[in-house]
Amino acid sequence: MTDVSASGSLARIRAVAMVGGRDVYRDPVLVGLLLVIPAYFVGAWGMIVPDQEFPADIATADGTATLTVPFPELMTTLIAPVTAALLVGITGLFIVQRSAAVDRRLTVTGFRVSELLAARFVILATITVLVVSIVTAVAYLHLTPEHLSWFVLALALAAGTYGAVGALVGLLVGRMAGVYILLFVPMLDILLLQSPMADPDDWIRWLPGHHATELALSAAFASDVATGHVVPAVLMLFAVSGIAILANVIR
Amino acid sequence: MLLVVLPPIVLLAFDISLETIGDAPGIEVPAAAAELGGALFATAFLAGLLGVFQVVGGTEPDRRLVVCGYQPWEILSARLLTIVAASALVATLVYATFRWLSDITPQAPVLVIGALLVAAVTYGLLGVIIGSLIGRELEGSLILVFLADFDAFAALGVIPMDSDIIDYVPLAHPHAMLESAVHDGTVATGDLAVAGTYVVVLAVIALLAVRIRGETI
Repeated sequence: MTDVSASGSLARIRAVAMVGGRDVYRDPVLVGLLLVIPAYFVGAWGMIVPDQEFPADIATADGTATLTVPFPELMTTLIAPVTAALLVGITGLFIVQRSAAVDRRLTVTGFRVSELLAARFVILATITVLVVSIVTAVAYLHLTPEHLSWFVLALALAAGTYGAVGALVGLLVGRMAGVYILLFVPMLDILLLQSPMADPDDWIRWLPGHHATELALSAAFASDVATGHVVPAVLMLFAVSGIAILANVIR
Repeated sequence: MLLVVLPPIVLLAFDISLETIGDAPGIEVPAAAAELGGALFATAFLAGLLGVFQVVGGTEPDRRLVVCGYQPWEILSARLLTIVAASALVATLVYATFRWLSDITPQAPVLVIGALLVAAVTYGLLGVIIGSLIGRELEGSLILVFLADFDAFAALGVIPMDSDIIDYVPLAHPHAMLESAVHDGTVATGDLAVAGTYVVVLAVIALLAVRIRGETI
């Protein structure tokens, strides 16, 4: 009986995820933008900054070290998670907003809230994988990370965390106000406040992008990656996702 | 309501963020740059998003208005009037927040609000163009956000850049107008001319975009 219920649940998640996924890949403009925007944004920033070297505080396995790094590579390392966070965050906001009415009807027809949440998560996770793959490929034009797999993980964590932030924002405010918030937050968080050239205050460690950005910088430049940022970054992802799920259930 | 509350918060966020990065070696943050940049972007990008959402959200009503005999330029004018009215309100609020945050007393308050409005109209028109050509909120928002974020940091000048492209981003000249209005109490004719040209060219493109949309919807 339990197996039948579980398989039924999986089938329902699969059905909702498939329909939602079709909405994305049948939208050529959206797919095109998910491909073109990283190329434009990451590619452009890597080209227009001066080819100079700057000192930057980079987390390593043995603590923070001041390394001299080329500015185009440093900017690419910061812009890559910003791009992924913006794309997945705004998409997350719209997924939540667009699915609200549909989900209400599906709940009436017998779908559980957990199944609908799982299906939306699958869609957002798929978009995250797509965006991170493209951003990584474009980032390679200007940057060869010391540790590629950790760099990709950092991008995925930044994108996933901001995807959850986008979903939460989408539950709390309207589309336009939500986009307006997301327009500024990842940029200010990751690019300015987490800049390794600045001397940050302690409260900055609690921002959504902190640990993912530290991991990305470490993976890009340090000989030994500061893996101590992985668990806090994952916890941040879970915390924001948990709040978004709670807000969704309450709604 | 949020659209009235959020811009001053954005200005405050810029203030805190640039205070942090302003100490970094190789990065120069001029006096009041954070507040000025925050004020400009908070006003302009709100107008841009208003443009996108007004046009996309107004597709159905606009279609009926075209059927009733309204001309595309009349519809565009109505949309722009709404954007300008909202931007004027936001610019005033942002200016008040700027006065509260910054130690600098603007030399010419009217010119400061004027520069903010020029930036808002520029981005409002960009939003109308994007909304008309793309016709979808998500995709339009993505294009506007990535254009705006690039523009913001190019115009702000806190990240060292080695390219002439920063002189041509939409907010480069409104930003220069804002700075000189605050510090000198004047606006350079050259900046005003280029910013005005931007507005006129974008208005023509917006009219064409609305006309194309009117024919295709």
